[in-house]
Amino acid sequence: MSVKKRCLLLVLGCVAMVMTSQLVAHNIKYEYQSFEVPGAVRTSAFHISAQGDVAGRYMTGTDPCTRSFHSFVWKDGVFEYFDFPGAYSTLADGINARGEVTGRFLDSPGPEVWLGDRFPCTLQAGRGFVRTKGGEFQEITLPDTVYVGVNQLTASGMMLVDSIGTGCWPDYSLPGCEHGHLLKSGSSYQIDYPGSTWTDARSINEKGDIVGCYGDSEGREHGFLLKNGQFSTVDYLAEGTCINDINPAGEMVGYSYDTERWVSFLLRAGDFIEIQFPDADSTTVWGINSQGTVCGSWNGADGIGRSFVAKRH
Amino acid sequence: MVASSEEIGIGLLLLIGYGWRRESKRFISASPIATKGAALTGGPRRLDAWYERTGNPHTEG
Repeated sequence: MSVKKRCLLLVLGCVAMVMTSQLVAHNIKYEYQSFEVPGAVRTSAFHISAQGDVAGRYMTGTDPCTRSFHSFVWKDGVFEYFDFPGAYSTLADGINARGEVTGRFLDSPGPEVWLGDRFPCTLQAGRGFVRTKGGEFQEITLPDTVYVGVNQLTASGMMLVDSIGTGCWPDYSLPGCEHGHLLKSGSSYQIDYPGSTWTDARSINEKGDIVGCYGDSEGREHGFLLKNGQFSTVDYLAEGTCINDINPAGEMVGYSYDTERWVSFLLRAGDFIEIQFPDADSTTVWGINSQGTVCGSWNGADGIGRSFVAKRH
Repeated sequence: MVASSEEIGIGLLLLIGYGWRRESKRFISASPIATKGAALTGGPRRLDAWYERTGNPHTEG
């Protein structure tokens, strides 16, 4: 065989290798299952445990100023509903391998604000909660805050919290109002992306890797990964990106948008793989578990928001 | 068949090119990326996502 032919074969081999690798990287197929709370305007699956239990919230009412949220655990196709006792709204954020659910509850009317041409719209102060598998609640508060949400509690006891400081009503998007917090081993660590105007730390895996999003001085949001004490920015589409969850393998899910599109994605080994519920108007992926099963919400043409879980083939 | 130095060179160049292409897709940088834009971007779906997550309406914009 001549040198030229051998070179050609080598080149073709390399091209084939590249194409095969790309196919492997993107050849993730999902089997989708949709579910919804009967009568709810929106059902949102927010987090999924290693066992496949899903925690989420559903919205009742359509008036933007009076609608409220209630929470559920969805297991093997069966809903278990719950509310923090006496709360106006209860919003579940996370569920861990021990079946503990975390979230936020709203029960204290705050300032009245304009929402578009609507007045008054009453903001609600929030506090965090942890709910045991047996249904007992523990309230989580932080000093000098008007709003606390417990985003995650790992099975090993690391708690990830977001807060809005006292004095930030109603403009809680002002610089310095929203912070992330990691509570572990009796200590609290504030999480702020360097130079950001706000930081929302949304999820933590058992390795201690933290993901979320932050705002820059131009008002744009970006995703971030905090790993081994180092921040990295994650951007996809031009206008904004947020990372919602990370699993033990380091796979992340989030959403991103520009002036034309709203997309959700799986970020795996540096590749963005868009995820869309079949025929949905929009899809938001909120959680991913250790098996790579994702959960989220999708909007249909009928205006109803429904939940889904999607397992990999 | 033993590859010649030319063949090895071409192969290495292709692998480097492939590696660069993958790296360029990562979009992850070590520092924040600041871009100009409106105070509130993302349109109604972002407002929905805010409400969906916090239980409160977004008061900006």
